[in-house]
Amino acid sequence: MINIFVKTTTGFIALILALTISTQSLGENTSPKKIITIGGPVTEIVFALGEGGKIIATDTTSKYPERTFILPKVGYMRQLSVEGLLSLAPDHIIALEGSGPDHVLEAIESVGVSVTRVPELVTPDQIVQGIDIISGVFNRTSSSSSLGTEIKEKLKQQLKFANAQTSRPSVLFLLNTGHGNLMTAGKDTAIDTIIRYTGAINSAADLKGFKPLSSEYMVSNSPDYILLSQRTLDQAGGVFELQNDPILGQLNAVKENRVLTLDGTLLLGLGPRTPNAIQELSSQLFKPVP
Amino acid sequence: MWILPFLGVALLGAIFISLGLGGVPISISSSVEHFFSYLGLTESHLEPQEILILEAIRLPRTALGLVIGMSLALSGGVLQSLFRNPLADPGLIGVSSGAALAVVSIIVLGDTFFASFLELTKNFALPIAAFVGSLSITVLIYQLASRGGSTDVSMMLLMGIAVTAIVGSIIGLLTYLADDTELRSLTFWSMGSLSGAGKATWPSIAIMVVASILLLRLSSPLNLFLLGETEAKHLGIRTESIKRQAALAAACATGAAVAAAGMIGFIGLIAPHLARLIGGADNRFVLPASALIGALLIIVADTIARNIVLPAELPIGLVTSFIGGPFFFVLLFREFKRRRL
Repeated sequence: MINIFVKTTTGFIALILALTISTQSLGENTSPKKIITIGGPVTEIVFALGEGGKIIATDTTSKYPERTFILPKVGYMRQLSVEGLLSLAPDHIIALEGSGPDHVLEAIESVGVSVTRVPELVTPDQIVQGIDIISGVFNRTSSSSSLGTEIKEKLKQQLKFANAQTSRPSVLFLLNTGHGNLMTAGKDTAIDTIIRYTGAINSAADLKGFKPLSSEYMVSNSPDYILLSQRTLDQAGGVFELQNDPILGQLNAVKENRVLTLDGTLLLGLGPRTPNAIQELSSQLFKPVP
Repeated sequence: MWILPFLGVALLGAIFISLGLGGVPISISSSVEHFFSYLGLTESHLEPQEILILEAIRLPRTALGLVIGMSLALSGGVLQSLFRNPLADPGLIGVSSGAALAVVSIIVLGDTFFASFLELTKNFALPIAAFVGSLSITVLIYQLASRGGSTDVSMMLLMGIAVTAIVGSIIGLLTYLADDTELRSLTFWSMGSLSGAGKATWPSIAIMVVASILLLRLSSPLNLFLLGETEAKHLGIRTESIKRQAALAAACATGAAVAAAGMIGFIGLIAPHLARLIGGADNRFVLPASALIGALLIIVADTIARNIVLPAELPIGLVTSFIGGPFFFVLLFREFKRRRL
């Protein structure tokens, strides 16, 4: 009886020892365990790769997935603090290009924490590139390339579908409604890319970046569709309230209820969910004939 | 006079507290121990990483805060005496608007119009632009207010307001052109931060130290300026030279401060007033006292800014006005009551 007990205990201890040793040797293999991600798309990609559990903190631009809400926030991505970051004792920082200030990230590196910089994700190709770089951090080239190729393949399909469309409806994005200047998204924004990849035309393609829109221009260039984030539409009080708006109510798109909505976190930057955003918008624009 | 030494001791205390507080826990006593170990008084028990944080991150930051606080407070004090106006601050002679215009231009138009300048200066681009901008707008305002070799101080105030308004509209135009990333950079720049402290700020610190010494030396002649410009002239003061020195040194000091840390409001206004409330209007007391108070305020504000929202950081300009405003209000109210009694 005692003999068995001794045997199992020693066996158990040996097992624990073996486990600790093996995890230690894994740690030496430089796969980071405590990561801080800076920049919404970077955080999304890390989660999409299934490594989200290793994130100990993010910046304030990281708003997807929901788990990011309970993670500590190190501030706005361009206004990081050296000691703030170091106080969390990370072993790796993955930062989107433009994070900083530069001297902060340099100081972090000088203390011995490695920093991986990911180029900005402005074109769809850069999403794939970003995924490759980030999965390099986790030494996971095989799974990454599957996520990368999957997205590349989807985007190719969508572009093909977009080019095959015979009608080219115009879509106007509005960042806000109601009082004050209406803001829209012109060229060089994620929204412009998403609209183009559905086969539609961005009604504000003359502008660059997010710009205030003249309401007269908007009424005279009446777009076929209005695109809002779901949150903006909820704040406005639904399509019915938009129809009562003195300016927006003039638009045929609003009068005839051609108001499209997408989740706001999909619209403000490109990332691994961009193909889904294009898909969702495309299905609202080009409803399959019943 | 026991007030100046007392302020000095308070400042020293604030310096040690600011060095001992931060995101990475290093106790104040062991950081004091570490710094005294260089004098052979104690032994340091810190890890190499903690030493790096103390010496490469916190020490330059506290030093920068010290010098900026002094420069802003001295500039404010000198300009208040020069204009005989309790509301005068470096903003009035175009320092802030000049710096802001230059910085906005670099942030918004940098890649298109100033590419070779950015290439040449790299990390120094914004500091150089801020410094040159503030100095040139001040010189412009000074020139506009000068006729036949003499400068009218009240004209300088009005010219300052006019030029600031024009510059403000140009800044507005550039802000309109900016994209949202650039807007965020602008907003943060205009709220100030000491986090850039390091090698890149050494030139600014050198300029601020020299300008501060110049400003301090003006204390006796400025006392006579308080009587009125004509009276000062009759008492043998070379008023034109004093005015030029004061405006130029204040512009250099504030311009360099803005270059190193962006806009930090309120210190230039509040520090000299506090000094006067404590010890009267004699500039030989007011200027050194406001330098110490300015440094003390900045260091305390930065310690709060660094620690209150860890692991993030607040812009220091928010803290100075958030705490300084009500504090100043209380002091003014007490003074008001005292006068009525």
